[in-house]
Order: sequence, then C-alpha cells, then structure tokens
Amino acid sequence: MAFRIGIDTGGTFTDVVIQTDEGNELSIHKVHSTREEPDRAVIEGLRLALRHTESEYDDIELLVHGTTVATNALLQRRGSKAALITTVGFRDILHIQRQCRPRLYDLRSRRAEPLIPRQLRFELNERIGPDGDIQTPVDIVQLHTIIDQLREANVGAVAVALLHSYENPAHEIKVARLVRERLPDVTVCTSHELSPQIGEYERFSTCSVNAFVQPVMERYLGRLDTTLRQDGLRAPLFVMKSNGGVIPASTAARECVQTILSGPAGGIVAGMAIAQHHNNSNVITADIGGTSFDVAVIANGNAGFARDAEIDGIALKAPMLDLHTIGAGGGSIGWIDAGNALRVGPRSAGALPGPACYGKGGDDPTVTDANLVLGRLATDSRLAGGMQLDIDAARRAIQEKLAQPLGLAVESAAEGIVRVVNANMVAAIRKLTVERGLDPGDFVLIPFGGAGPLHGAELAQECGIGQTLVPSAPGVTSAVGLLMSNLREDRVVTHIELLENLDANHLETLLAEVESETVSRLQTVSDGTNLSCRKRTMAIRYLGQSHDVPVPITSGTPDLRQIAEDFHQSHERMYGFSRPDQPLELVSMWVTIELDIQPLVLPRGRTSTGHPEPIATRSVIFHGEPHTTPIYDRTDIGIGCQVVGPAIIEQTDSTTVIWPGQRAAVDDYGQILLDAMT
Amino acid sequence: MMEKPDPVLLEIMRNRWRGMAEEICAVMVRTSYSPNIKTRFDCSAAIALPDGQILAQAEIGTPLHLGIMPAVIRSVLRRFPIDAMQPGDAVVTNLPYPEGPGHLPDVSLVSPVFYEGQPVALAATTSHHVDVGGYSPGSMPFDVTEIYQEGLQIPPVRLIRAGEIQEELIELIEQNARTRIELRGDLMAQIAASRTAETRVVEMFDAADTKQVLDYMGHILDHAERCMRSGIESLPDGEYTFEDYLDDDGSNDEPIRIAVRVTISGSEFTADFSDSGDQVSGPMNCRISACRACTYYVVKAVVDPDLPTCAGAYRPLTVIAREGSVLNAHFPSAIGNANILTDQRVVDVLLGALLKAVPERVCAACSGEMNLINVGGIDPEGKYFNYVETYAGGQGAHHDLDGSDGIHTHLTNTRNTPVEVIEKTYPLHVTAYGLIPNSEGPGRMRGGCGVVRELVCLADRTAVTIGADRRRFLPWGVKTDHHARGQHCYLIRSDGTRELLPTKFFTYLKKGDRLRIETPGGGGWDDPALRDRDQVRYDVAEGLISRSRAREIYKDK
Repeated sequence: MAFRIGIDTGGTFTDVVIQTDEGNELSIHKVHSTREEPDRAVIEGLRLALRHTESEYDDIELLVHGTTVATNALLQRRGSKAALITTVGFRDILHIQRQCRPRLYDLRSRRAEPLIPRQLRFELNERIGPDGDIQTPVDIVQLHTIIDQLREANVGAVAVALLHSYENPAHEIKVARLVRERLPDVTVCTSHELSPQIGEYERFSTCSVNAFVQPVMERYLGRLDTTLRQDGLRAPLFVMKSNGGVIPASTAARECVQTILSGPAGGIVAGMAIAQHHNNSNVITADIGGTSFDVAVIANGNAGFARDAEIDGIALKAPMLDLHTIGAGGGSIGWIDAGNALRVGPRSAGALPGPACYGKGGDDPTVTDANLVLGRLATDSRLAGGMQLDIDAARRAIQEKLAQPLGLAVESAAEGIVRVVNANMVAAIRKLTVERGLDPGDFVLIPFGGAGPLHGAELAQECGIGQTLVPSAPGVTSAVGLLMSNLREDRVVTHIELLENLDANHLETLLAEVESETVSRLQTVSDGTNLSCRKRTMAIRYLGQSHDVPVPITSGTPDLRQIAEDFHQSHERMYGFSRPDQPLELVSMWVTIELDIQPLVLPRGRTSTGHPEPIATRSVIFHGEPHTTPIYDRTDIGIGCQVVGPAIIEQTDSTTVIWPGQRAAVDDYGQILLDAMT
Repeated sequence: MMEKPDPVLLEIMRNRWRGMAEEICAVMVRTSYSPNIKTRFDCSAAIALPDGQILAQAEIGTPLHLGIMPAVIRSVLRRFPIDAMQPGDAVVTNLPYPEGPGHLPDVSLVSPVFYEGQPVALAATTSHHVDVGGYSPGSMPFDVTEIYQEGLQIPPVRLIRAGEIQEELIELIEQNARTRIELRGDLMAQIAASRTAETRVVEMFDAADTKQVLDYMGHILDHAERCMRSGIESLPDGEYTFEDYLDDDGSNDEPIRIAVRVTISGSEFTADFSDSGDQVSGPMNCRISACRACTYYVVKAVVDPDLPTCAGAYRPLTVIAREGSVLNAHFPSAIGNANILTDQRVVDVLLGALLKAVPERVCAACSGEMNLINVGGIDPEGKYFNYVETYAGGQGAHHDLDGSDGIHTHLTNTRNTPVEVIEKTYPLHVTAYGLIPNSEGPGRMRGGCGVVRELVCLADRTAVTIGADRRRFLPWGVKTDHHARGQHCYLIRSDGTRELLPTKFFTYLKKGDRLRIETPGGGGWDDPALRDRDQVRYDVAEGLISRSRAREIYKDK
C-alpha cells in the first residue's frame, strides 16, 4: 500500500502523520522531540509509525518534513562562523539596522546583535549605481587580500552583499565566484539570489542569516538523509518552507532562509485546504498553544505574505506567510495591575513550571487553570499526555492571586481570565482583518493547536465570524498540512517604473522569463511534475507613496488599464480613498509557481454509528451559570452527527467547547462545524 | 456616582479603545503619501472624551505627541466648543500659540463623534507634514526669529463642515507648501483616519449599553491614574535638580540654559523648569506642551514603560515653565527646531535629576539631539525633491549595560532611509554610512558610538538645513568626567577643501559638494579603568575603540 508521510518537529513532540493515497486513513503518531539532535526523533517517530501500521520503507511514496533546525540555529545564535563582504563605506549596515530601538519607552531595550561581528565584516572597493550602472569596478587585488583574511579567520560561510545588487548582480556574482574558487569548502551566498529587493539592511540581513544557518542546515539534512537511505527510504524527501510550499531537501540547505518559519506554515496550508473543501476561500486560522497565539488570514484563497518579517530582532526578507503572533496561550498568566484591572499575559508559565494544575511547582493562575475550574477541561485530561490535572491547585492559584484581591468568586475570576485572553486574541484577529479593510463576517474560523477548539467558538462570536470549523486532529494540524503542500516558489523582482511608461509586451517577456526559469528549475528537482498553479501579482503605489498594494494580474498578458482600475479599487477598499488623477508606479512583481507533488486529499471522517452517547456529564460554567453538560469522545462523533450545546468533545490532543444553544455538526471529513452562537 | 468598575470589563474596554487608537494610527500610516509618516512614523492618533481628556493614544515614532495632543484638542475646543460642533465636522490646526502642536509641520485634525445625536468622543490625529512653506524646504529653518518665517500658520478652522470637505481651504494650504501632492495626500490620510474612528466608535456604542461604555471611559482614566500614582510612589520623595546647556540657538554663540527642579512627594510628581534661560531669538524656543510631553516620556520610561497613555496617567504630573523663558516662549517667537533639539535637552535634565533619586533606572546622557537634515531642490529632471531624516547617535550607558551604537533615543525612534532608496529617489550619492570609532563615552559601561553619513550632491543649488547640537556641551557620563564625542559636520568641496560647519545652518550646495555628518556618542557609566578587560579588547578587535584609546583611557596594558 502506498502512502505519504508528514513529519513535523515541534518543541515538545515530533508528530508523524501517515496518509494513504486514497486518503481515507490518517494515522497519527507522536514521539518526544530530541532537542539537541532533532533528527533522532524524526527517525524514531518514522520507525515507530511504520511498525504500528505494519508497513515498509518501500511503501512510502513521499516524505515531507517540517523542521525547526534553521529557526533554532537562529534563535539560539548557534550558527556557523560567518563573514560579510560588502561595499566600501557600509560595513555597519548590519549593526545599525534601521536605527530604531525595539521599545519606545524602555531605556533598557536593545536591538539584536548582528550575526556577523564587525571584525568579520569586510569592505570592498566597488560600486554599482542606483540604475545598475557600474561606477567603480571590483578591486580584485583587494578582494584577494580579503579572501586571505577569510581563510586565516577560518570562517564557515561568507555572505556577499553589495549595494544595488538587486539592479545589477554582476559584482556579487564576480565576488562570490572568486571566493568559491579560492575557498571551496566555505559556504558562499549572495544577497541578490536570496532577496532581490531594494533596501540594503533587509537584503544584507537576509543574506547574513542564510550564511549563518546554512552550514548547520546542511549538516542536519545530510545526516537525516543518510540515515533514512540506510533504513531503506527511496522516496523523495521534501522540506516545508515559510511560504507554505516545499523544496527538495537537497536544495533546502542552500536556501535555508526560506525555511525559517516552516513550522507554522503547515497549519496555514492545512487551513487553506480545509477551506477549499468547504467552498470557502476566506479563512482565519487560529493556532493556540501553550505560550503563543498565531493567527493568519487567507482571503480569496490567498494567504498573505509578511512585509517586514523579523525573527528575534533580525530582519528576513524571504517570502513567508503572514502570521501575527501574540503571547497568549494556555500557559498565559493572569495578574492584577497597579490600577486594579485583571490582565492576562504576555508572561507565560510555559511547560515548566507550567500552569498551577500541572502540579510541577507553578502557583500562578493561567488560562489552562481557568478552563479547568470552569469545567471546560477535564481533570483527567489526555492533553498533557495522560497527566492528571490538579483542580484544587488551579482553584487555589486563582483564589489567592486574583479572586480574593479583586473580591470575586473563583469562578468569576476564572471566567474573567478566559474573557480577557479572548479579548487579546480578538484584537490580534482584528488587526489582520478590520485594519486591512476585511470583514471577519466573510470568513470561517479554523481553530487548532491544543487549546484552539477550547476558545474557537468565543473568538468567532466576538469577531462576528459566522462559522467555526474544528479540524479532525487539531493538535497535529501543522503535520497534516505537510501532506497538502506543493512544490512552490515565490519570486519577487524589483522593477520601479511609472505605470504609464510600461510596455505590456515588455512586461510579459520579463514575467515569462522569470516564470519559465523557475518552472524548469523546479522541474529538475522534482522529476518533471506538472505545473499546477501560476500567479502573477504587481505591487503598485501612487507616485510619492512608499507603501504599495498588491494587484493580481488576472488576464494572461498584463492589461495595464485593468491593473490600474483594480489598484484604485483595492486602495479604496483598504484605505478608504483613491486618487485616480494621480500617476501610478510599479514597485515590484511577484511570480508564484506551484508544481503538484501530491494529491490534495482531505482524509475522510469515520461513519456515524447512530446517535452518540456521552461518556460522562459534568458541570461546566457558561456566562456565570453552571450547566450540566454531556461530554463526548471525539471518536464516537462520526460523519453526520449533530450536537446541540452545551457539550464538550474530548480527544487525545484537544478539547472542543460547544456553547449552550450552539449547533454543531460533523462533516464528511470528520470536522466539527460550529454554527454562530445565537 | 459611578459604580466600581468590573476588573475584567475594565481590561476588555481598555484594550478595545487602545486597539481603536492603534487602528486609526495604522490607517493614517498606510494611507499617507510621504515617507515621513510611512517609514518614519512621525505621527500619532488619539481618541478623547468630548471634554478633551485623552482616552487612548497610539504613537509609534515619537513620544512627543503625547503631551502635545491634549494641547491640540484644547485649542480646538476653545475655538469650537463641543456643543457648537456637528456630525461630520473636522477641525484642522498647526498653530502652537497659545497652545497646540509643537511646531508648524505637525498638522493636526480633530473631529467629533456623535452617537444618537450626542457627542460621545473626539478623534484626533497629528502628522508631521513634509513642508508647510516658510523660509526653507521642510519648514524648519534656522536664521529666523519669528514664527511668520517658519511657514503657514493654520489656526483651528473647519476643514470639513458637516461632511463637506472645504476644498478651497485645502487649496489655500496646498498653495503654501512646496510639496503639495504629499501635503494633500497626508491630509487625506488624516481624514481617512478620522472617518475610521467615527465608524469604530459608533460600532462600539452599537454593541453595548451606552451608559456602560460612557462609564467605562471614565474608569479607564481612573485606572491609568492609579497605575501612575503607584509608580510614582515607588520613587523616593525629595527635590532633585539638574542643569545642562544647548550649544546655541543658531544665531549667536550664547549657550541656552535648561534646568529642572523635580519634586516627588507621595504620588505627585512636579517638574519645574522656571530656572531655565530666557527665550532666544533663534528657532529653539519651546512650548510648555512639549515640556509636558518630555515629562510624560521620562516618567513613563523610569516608572513603567507599559503605563497606559491617557489623560488619567497625567493627572499626578505637574509641569511648570516660566513665561518668557526658552521653554515657554511668547508669540511670535520662532520654535521650529525645539522638537528636535531643545526637547532632547529637556529629557536630559529630567533624567539627570532622577539620577539622584533612582540611579539604577536611569542612563547617562544619550546623543541629546536628533541631527535633522533636510535636503531640497530641483533634481536634474526638473522635479522638486525633498529629503528629510533624523540621524541616530550613541545611547547612554546604564549602571549595568552598555549604551547601543547608532540608535535613535528618547523622543525620536524613526527608521532611517535606506541608502539605496536615497540614491534611487534623490539626486544624492551616499559614500559612507557607519559607526564612528572612539566616539563612545568611556566608562565601566560604555556609551554608544555615533554615526557618520556622507552625502554628495548631484544637483546644483541644493538647499540644506541641518539642525544639530552637542558640540560644546558634550553628552555626559555618570560617575566619570569623560564625555562622549560631540557632533561634527564638514563640507568638502569638489576641489578637496574641507570646512567645519556650525551645528545649525541653512545653505545652498553645489553639484559635487560633499557633506560629512558625524553625530554624537552616548555617555558612559563609571571609571573606564574598571571596565571588564575582555570587553575592552573586544571593542578594540571590533575596531570601535583604538588600541591607544584603550591604553590611555581604559588603562588596558
């Protein structure tokens, strides 16, 4: 039997998800992550999954991996010893960044230190002008001296980042070639290849991140691939990227900067796929874990891209799905501020000591403690790996730290924690929708992560979202997303010119060139799979503005009049006004190419065995009132089942709360569809 | 008598109003035309009660708008009492006298929001426009002595009447600006923001009980007041004084004295600047609203950076400045550059005073100015251009922390314009942008290094204004007599001659002229001989401190 496997490395668990080609079966396996050598858990998880399903390596058609190796190397600053070669006069660009401090009022806040120290940032006599003209040729003699110094410093990687290389990469290419020639064992990357966009700090920074992380990623993927091949794997190994697409492991290391946000991307891809099956192309994904809340918006089937992405204070300009993260999750701590308001987060109890109810020494009241006290979580929750939750400890923490000082009942304080944390999450959702001219009412909410379905219904209610769709395995949605992704590449080409001066035919040639080059490159690495999707977008602004609006090109050859019209309309929608009398300027063009590597099949749900029987009942508090509430096991809730709240549906990795009067139904894919609360 | 607020609803309401202010500000930033607002975020947005008390304010690029916004709203309400306003009105002003924005480029728009026929809130935005006319491009000239020379003065007037935009008024304003497209664009962005505010406020009232929403607007102010009072109580009672100087006002060599007496008594905080020098003839005079902004900034930074920004938080603060002094000048004194220079010195003296109360919470002097540069003229294609930026400098050290190199401090936090964007957009060529070795204030903890930027003019008759300070009175250290290096600015002609320019000037440059601007470093903390040897040697290896300086000042053998 042929099947596909997704393996997602998370902070606590490494999830392995197996899906057959027919898509009827989805089997989930979890092993503990091995932080120092994440590949050990990947291999172990895979072996375990194969054993459980009585399968062989030969049955595997495709393996997709979501990895945090690049992310962690960056976050923990455990990358290679990297150097920078840059234009004379500009070696401190990486240090100064954009000259801002991270927090306006905090005298102690500091920028991130550059990944490459000043003593390894070398200045080279050369200069390309703003129009791509060569003002000063590369000083080859000086370059040789620099390379001597690089050799002496024994660096593992070199970032070549020169001014205006997005206009003319000739100098970067020349420098890189000579460095590679003389230092064949050293990783060399160039800024124009990784991010051919105007703005030196972001481009240089992206290049430095890649240089810093690439050797680590190369070692990791090399080791993983070798072990997998030894075990007998013959299928191709793909790695998830931050743009929601995958690349072959063989090329992932070289462009590792594209895999920095690989983890959360899986969840967004799953959200898009789920929505597609529901004929709804407007989706908000809400991933609620222990410490953070990640929200993404997919409008008209397109997940937005982050504009100014930054990881831990380091700028990264690689196509990555736009994800808004706030510090709100199960571990977020409730506290009283000096003005007597009940606040929640951003401080989190994390996994250790964890919420008070974990009994690991935490005594701060958290969101998880509140959900437990309200009866929404069971004391014998399977969520934390079969851990018994201590409701008395939860009550005690809430009583002592919140209820008593505020003069509230424990239950009211618990409800307060949940309402406040929900309000924080709603604010994050509004930022991505309302602030951008989108109406949340047009969207379906997909809550996942361990705590997503606990809060989903309330978030939808507060935001005015009509429907909520709880995936069949909310805790492993990111891993499931791996099995729904395609080979995908997004290319951005800076091209600043007045729209009225553009020649549509010239533009077509330009775009077609980028596209065919991308397609053929992707096809070589994927054994000639089919082109499944091609998208073109132009980023346009009013002349004089510095913020552009993406305008998709819907027709084949770009119709400039249509594009201008679409731009004014989008501008009007997003910002409330348009100025059709003003000249427009093209800033850049985006090309998206997708190649199918796997069928997009949503696993089917279990068929219903008639009316589900509750496994228990308990008292759950809604709106300050206790309700006797039936508790269901998710495995008993098959296709077509209908439940009217109050109800709680429990499963190994998550708990779904259905509010009093709220209707829930299970669709063909085993997903729970919650109607709006009445 | 209002009921005691529910701590949960209080927090939820607080978040909503704050989110609303942030959304309004985001709309303004996104719809603006000029890079000033787009990338430098020199703007802010607020929601106020109908009586003018600010309920929530969003500020991204500068805390200066904090104290200024209440003054703007007060001056608007003085001319148009809330009962005289009608739905769809919006009042524009940029006039700092008798109170208002800090200088003329800060054009502000205030509009009432009505619900069921009653005024329930005010929405206000301020954004720093590229140009509002006057003697030099950018409307922040030196060589002037009266506000008349600084640009167009707009007293509070209705830009929109009952939903009707007063097109003729916009044309009048536009006619006075060198960059009219940007001016109109940025004004439209402010209008878009105030419309968003109206929609959101009405939604808020639609979704809840009107009385409850109104009650909680009051509760939010009281909450902020409690937070602020509890923070001030954590500071030791006493009187703390400090003085410092600005180099000059750009017209003569006289230093300008800035002095403060801070009195902390229980939960009350008073800053009295009356001992400062008299008003000056150059454009370095300040309005008291700006002194308030500086005080709010410092107290917030020292007490708790997360304190809410609303009128309630300001209740325990009293700010006094003698009339006729440089910090409370009479009409029609020129004031254009107070925002970038005088105000930073006001912050310096406040922190200097608090150093005596809570040394562990305060840092040594930062670069103490903003080094504003404004370059304007006609590019080789015949189009008008204007480039404006404020340059980073060194940050002062804490008792346990080095200051950052090349960073915006205190009242400014705006992004730089990328070298590639400068060269692509303006007839300018950038030959250097980096840190200045040996410019740090030495100490056990060292201050940050200053920044150098070199620009070559590619067009003739390019007008340049520079507003800087800290060449004579250098950024001070704490527990050490060493200072950081001061500001320098050189003009290098194409024949190679080199001239040191004053800190403040306006001049025309020729094609091929090169400007080299070097910003001040930040002060250090404690004796540099006590600095960790590894750290001294690391800075030497990094090329930020020379071997000889390490030997002589840091006593490293």
